[in-house]
Amino acid sequence: MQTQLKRGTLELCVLSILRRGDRYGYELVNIISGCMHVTEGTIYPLMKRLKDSGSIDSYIVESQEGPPRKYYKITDGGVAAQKEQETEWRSFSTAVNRLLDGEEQL
Amino acid sequence: MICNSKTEFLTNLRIALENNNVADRSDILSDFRQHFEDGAAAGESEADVCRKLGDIDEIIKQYISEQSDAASTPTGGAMPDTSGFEAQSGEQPYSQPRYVAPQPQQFTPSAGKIVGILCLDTFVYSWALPALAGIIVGLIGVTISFITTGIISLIGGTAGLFIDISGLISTGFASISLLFFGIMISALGGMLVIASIASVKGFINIIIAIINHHANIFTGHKVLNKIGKKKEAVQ
Repeated sequence: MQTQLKRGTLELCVLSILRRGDRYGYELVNIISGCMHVTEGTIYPLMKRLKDSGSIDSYIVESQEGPPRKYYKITDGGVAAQKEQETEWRSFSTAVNRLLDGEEQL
Repeated sequence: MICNSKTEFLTNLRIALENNNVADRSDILSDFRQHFEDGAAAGESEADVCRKLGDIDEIIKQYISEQSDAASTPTGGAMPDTSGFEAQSGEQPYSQPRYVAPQPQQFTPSAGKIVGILCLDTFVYSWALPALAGIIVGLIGVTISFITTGIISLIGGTAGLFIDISGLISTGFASISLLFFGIMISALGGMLVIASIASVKGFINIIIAIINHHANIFTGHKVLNKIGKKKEAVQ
């Protein structure tokens, strides 16, 4: 899959997953890699940018077994971005699908 | 680079982050450390986690490009990057800083070091090395004579058990004593063989160290690996 395309859509994927609930890094990476082929290490740089830009935030949860875990959660800004991106993605993918299926004739 | 263990991965990642001056390095490292710990808790081997995380260079490039993206779009709310479709001409839709591989630094030998090495060379070549070589040649000579004596005594002693050798040796040795003498001398000879091999190896390593020292002074890095040492990085 084209890296450019994946790169752009990964952000929407991460935001969508986090909209459904808070996740820690390993969990999030596994949800994504369970659905598509990604180099797992490249998800962390994306998480960092989303955090730096304020779309997501992180908090530490102490755990009984093992060291404390860093959880990610979506912010209000992140929810807004997710909605906008989802709308764009859906109309874009519909358009592409129509072209692929040869339904472009009026 | 692809790594095989948590320690190797984290060390290489730390070095690469430093070399490329990526911000918030300790946060990044702790994210990956936690990833490994969670992987282990889920029953994944370190090698598997490494393989799935992928190439460190790739991760670093991603951090660099995300950093520049964040700088250019402060809100970060970039839409899914459909520009990838439009970039049919093959040009990059956005510019990103290139990943920088560590570069060897320009090196100039200092005059003081050159004078120093000349003095050291005079001493080493006129006295230390010849003396050392003499000792080693002597040791090898002794070894050869011990081995020969030992083997001859063993043969003689063994033969004496079956035939009369009293005419061949004048010292009055009984053949059984000659046999044991042979065993002893051969054993000593064996130890000397080991000592000789070790000293020759040591001597070669000294020569290599001298060559590397010279190379280091004139070029800034080593040129040879010592024998018997694995994977010492020759740059």
